[in-house]
Amino acid sequence: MTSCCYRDDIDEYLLNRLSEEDKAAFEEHYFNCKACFQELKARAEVLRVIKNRGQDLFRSPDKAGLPLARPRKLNFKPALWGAAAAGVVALIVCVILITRPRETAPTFTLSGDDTVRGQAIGLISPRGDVALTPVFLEWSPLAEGAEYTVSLFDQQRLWSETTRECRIRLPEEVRQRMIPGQAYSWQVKAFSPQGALTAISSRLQFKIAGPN
Amino acid sequence: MAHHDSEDDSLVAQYRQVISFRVRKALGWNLPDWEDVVNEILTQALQKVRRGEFRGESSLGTFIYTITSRRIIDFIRQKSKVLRHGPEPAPLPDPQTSIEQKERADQLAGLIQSLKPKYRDVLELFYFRELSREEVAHRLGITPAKVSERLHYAHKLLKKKIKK
Repeated sequence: MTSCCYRDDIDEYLLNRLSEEDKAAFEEHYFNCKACFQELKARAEVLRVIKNRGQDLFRSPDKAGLPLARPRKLNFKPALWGAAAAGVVALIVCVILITRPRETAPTFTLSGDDTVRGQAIGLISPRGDVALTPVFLEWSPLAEGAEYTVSLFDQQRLWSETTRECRIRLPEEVRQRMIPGQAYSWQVKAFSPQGALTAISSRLQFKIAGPN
Repeated sequence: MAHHDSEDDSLVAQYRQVISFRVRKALGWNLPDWEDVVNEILTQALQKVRRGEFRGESSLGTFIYTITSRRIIDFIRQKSKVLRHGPEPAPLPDPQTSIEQKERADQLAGLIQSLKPKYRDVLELFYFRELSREEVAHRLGITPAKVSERLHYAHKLLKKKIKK
């Protein structure tokens, strides 16, 4: 199964649950990502069989079908109370861990062209010359739970945002300020779940095609 | 930059499957015209590549995706004009393709039925009844993450078994 960040869109796409914009983005993506396309094809085939034959497939003589809702019984057994108490203790421990002082982040002093060696963040798009003002910025994910700060620059920082996804939509007000023919660059920083800086990408330049 | 025709051909032909999927999903899986549409798209893409219209501003995949999307829209517009003048006869399925498709569908159906109930249940609720992950989780008394995990594993099992 692909580890691509679009994998969650596969089922949503097949079940027609994506917005028009997300649908177009995903369709463009699977023209470029073999892994996603193979997974999409396989799931589409399964879905077609289920849709066409579901009545027979899921009808069983020894059950009337799945319950509409599993009834929840409230049994106040000692084991349940013990589990609840353990849950409360775990919650208190988590609060203590979260509020403790964070580990000191390494100090980075970078010029515009420097890259942190070690864990690298691959910036996917936009890059180079692009025909239109980009809608999304997309990069390769690092570890699970990483948080990313994305920054857009011309001569100075234009915009910055933080996300846990590996792509982010440029706000419309930022896109409207971007001028065809001008060069821009963008950069991604990755932080661990504890808040420590773990990687910085190089600044990737792109240029929006000017008017002809 | 010099382009070798045979290299261009094979480069563009790699996209036949993904173009076919996109076209059939957009126009209907049983539409008899789909192969013609796909061939037109491939021809157009190849011509544009040979004429140097693909300049590398985007990936080749994105370039071909754009051509595909435009052709689909054109096809739908043309069909709408034709249908205004009369109904379209029902398409006749190709017998050979139908037999192969039916055998594969039979095989898949059998494999789905042979899955353990916990995997069959998520397939039924998520795909057949089209409940959301949260609704499926609530019905089965598990977390949405567990639902995703079971869906993923169910597909993995089906893929593994159908290869045998």
